Amino acid sequence: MDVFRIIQKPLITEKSTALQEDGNWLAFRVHPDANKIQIKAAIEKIFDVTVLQVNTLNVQGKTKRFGRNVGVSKGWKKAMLRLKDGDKIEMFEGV
Amino acid sequence: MELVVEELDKLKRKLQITVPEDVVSEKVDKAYKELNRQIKMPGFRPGKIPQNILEKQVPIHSFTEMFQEMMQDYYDKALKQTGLVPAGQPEIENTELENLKKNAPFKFSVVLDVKPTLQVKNYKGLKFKKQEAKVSEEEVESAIQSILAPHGVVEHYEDDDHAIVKGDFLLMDFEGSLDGEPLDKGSAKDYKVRIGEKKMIEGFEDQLVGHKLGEEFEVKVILPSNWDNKVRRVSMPIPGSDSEAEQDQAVFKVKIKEVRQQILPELDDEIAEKEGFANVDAFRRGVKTELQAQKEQQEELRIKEDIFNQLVKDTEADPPETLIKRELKFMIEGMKYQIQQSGMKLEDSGFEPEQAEKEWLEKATFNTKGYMILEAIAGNENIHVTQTDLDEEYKKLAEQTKQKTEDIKRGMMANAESLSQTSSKILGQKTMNFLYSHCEFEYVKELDSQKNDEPSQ
Repeated sequence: MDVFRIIQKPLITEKSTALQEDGNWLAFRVHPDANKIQIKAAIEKIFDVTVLQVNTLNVQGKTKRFGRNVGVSKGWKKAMLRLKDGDKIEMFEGV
Repeated sequence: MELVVEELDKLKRKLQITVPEDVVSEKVDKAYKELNRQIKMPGFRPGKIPQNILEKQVPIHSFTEMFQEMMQDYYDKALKQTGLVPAGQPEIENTELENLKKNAPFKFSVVLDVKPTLQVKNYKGLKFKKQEAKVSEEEVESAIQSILAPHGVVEHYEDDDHAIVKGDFLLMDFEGSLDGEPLDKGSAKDYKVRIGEKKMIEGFEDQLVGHKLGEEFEVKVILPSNWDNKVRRVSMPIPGSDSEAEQDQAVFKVKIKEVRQQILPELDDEIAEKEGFANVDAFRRGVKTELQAQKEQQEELRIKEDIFNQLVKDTEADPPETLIKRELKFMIEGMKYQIQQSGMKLEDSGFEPEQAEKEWLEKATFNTKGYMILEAIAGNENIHVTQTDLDEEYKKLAEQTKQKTEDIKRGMMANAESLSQTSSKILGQKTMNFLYSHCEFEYVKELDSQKNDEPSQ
């Protein structure tokens, strides 16, 4: 799979910025079928950094109501990556 | 705060002001915190955006306004510290507004004109000749006539053979032509004119005198140079020939259709009552006192002008450039306003601001010097402009411009420059009154020589 299909977008939120300061953890939205090995390889290729650890989780879609209709929004996969100390990705240093 | 004062000129100072780093970063941090609460960013609750992310999103240039405020602040502080009194608007030079940094001292410099300290001596007890306000019987009579005019009637002459005299009302047609060509805007039908009011081209009315009802004749007049609001060609007189004058000579074919005269009523108690007086005697006295008051006021104005002129002549002062420029600007704006008020277009009036700027420079310098002197005297004598003074001025302005007092007041408050201009004007008037009341007068019946200076206030 193409690296840019695996890594969909960075997640920059209150929580992710806090974790970044905590242990150089970064968060991305990734392709639901991608596994940890693929994610690690893709990040290392795109950003030229060393990834120490990858945690993934599936975010469940929310139930959304439109009047009488009940639906479910799409779920997605989140990946948390820990980078080697000192490595950084410019995108996260402020957008 | 670091402050370096440089003397550029006798009256020019350059202030180099450095705002220390901690003040700058503190201010910037505060501004970002303020912004944090207002901004919405996906992924963050309002007010919880980390500052480093916010700083990337919102560049520091967005706070130019804050930096300007800071400059104003430190400029004021610098003034206080150095004790300089600025004249006019300061000029801000090489600021670092283009190149702002959060963690660096902020430097800027200001060039300003300094108000020179003036020593005005002997402004009390100036000696002037004051003309006694004396109203002659003739003056009273002509004033009464003009008051009576609206009460009078305009009637046809009983005898149709009456030759036109001054003061007659005419109804006439005329057709103007120049060099055989019809004259643009030079014709009219049923034109009403009163002989002697000098509303027509010079010489026209005079030539009507002596003619009779129903007559048709030609009037030849030389067109004025500003005919039809256009400046005519500049005529170069050719020695030995007087034909050049004829080129501008227009011929008007005139037909008199109506001649009427004004009949003034006899002054009686009834008319006096209509004008608000008890009887004829009271009316006469009223007119006389009014004329007298007018004359006295004129005299007061004349003396005040003399005071102003004399003070300027006697005092050594170098008015700073910015003040002169401001005065010039003020004069030119005033002139423009007058032109527009009179219904002319600026382009047609022949008034050129650039030229006026050169021509009025001396006058502006003179006035500025005078204002500075008045200000200095006001300082010495503890004369101040109070809120009541300002309110009165607003009321006066409102009456003049037919606006609401509140509107004027709000407009003034919004514009700092015009507010300061107004209050300095009032200060000048108050000081002038003070000077006037401290003059010594020598009463004379007639002045030896009439001065025809332009009014300087």
